[in-house]
Amino acid sequence: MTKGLLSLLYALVAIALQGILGHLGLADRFIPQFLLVFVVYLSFAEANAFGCVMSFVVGLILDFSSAVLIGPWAGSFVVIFCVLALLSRRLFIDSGLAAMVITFASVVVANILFSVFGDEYPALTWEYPQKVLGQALSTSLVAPIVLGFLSRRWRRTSGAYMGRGSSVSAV
Amino acid sequence: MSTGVSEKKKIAALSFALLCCSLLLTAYSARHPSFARVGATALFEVVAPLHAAVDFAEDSTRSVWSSYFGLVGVSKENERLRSRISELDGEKGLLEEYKRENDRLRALLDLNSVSQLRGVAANVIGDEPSGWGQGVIVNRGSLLGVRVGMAVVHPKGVVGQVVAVSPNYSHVLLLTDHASGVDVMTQDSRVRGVVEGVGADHCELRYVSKQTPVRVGDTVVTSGMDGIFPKGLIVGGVSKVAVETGTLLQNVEVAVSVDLDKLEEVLIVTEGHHQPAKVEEAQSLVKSGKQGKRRE
Repeated sequence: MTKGLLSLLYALVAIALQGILGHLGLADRFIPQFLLVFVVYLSFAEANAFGCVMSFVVGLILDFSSAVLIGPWAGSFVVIFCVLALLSRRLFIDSGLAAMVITFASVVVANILFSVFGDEYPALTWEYPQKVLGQALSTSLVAPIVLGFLSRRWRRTSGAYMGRGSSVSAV
Repeated sequence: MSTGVSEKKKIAALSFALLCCSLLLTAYSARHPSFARVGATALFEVVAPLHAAVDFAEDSTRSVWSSYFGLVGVSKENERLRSRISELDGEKGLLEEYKRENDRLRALLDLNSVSQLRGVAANVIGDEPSGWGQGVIVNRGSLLGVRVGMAVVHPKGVVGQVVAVSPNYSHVLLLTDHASGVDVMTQDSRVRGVVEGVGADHCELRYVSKQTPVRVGDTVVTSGMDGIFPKGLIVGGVSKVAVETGTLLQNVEVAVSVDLDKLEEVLIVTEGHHQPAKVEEAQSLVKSGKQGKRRE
């Protein structure tokens, strides 16, 4: 229950932050996807049914923020969670660099999945890869900080501790 | 080990089920736009106050920052005079800011009187968070009469339309969003078409036959035929015309007249032309049209 509420709180703060950064003048292509960093975190810290459902819920919240289509982000977040959770015993994101690489790849894949599910870019333009790579870069740059923050907060609240191969504690 | 395997299977099965769920939701919300607004309305009430707070903090910081610079370097001898000058400078800056705001609001009022539009002036307080959709959040909602489907305009032209409303805030879908469509015509040649967003800073004028004369520089205005936007509002200017072989239509690019990246105040047209019921139909038609095109 506590973890669920905490996840919702993170999601709302992240979504507000993304909107605020855009309003303050940061170009769309450089707005970090904080919610996706949270999904990456969940896939390592909560590689179970709870994490899976929360990834879906967090994606739904992002979908609601667009007020147009409900589902594309939820679907892509679930896929990202599933893949990372299944690999979480083999992947290490102990170091900041590893966290950045995994986040970068996750953002790219999530955006492609979003475009496919949501039919957002029927005709690919040059702006599309620019936007995806820009968001992936900015998100991967903030990922080590956000993951470190989440790791400390989450553990304090839920008491969850991640085992070998899924540690984000040192990020 | 077996526990790990069963946990993996459980995650995979649950993920698959949720993925199917999300695809069903996507399909359903594409056909029933009102469904998407249910959650959006609640979300805005929670998130928008944070946007408003940051907007206020930004203005205050800017004001404090400019005052600070106005006072740097004040010597003891001229303390009183310099501080007076600084005060006046600060006031002048503030007055300049008020003057500009006044000019913008006056332009909105002029728009009101000239075009007989009745509406609510609103401030833009936030952007659409995902970074993919083209939308803004404004600080006026259903308590002031704003409803889904209402047109949103600016003295320079059309901005977009309201797609979700909470009591105090509204989500405006900009002209440049993929899901956006406005029935228009060129001002001189009266060629009709539909301006659709492409997700970038421009739009495309669609369904224009090769035989019809459209030239770069033509002004594009609303036709009033969609039941949402009043007739004659400027949408933009034709910036590119391309005729491809093997097609019946021409590709026309339209540069939007309003700088949508620098929106501050807008007018939500609350009385007159809009017909919310038709908006839903139009949006679902746009969505189903896109899906139909993909299937083809």
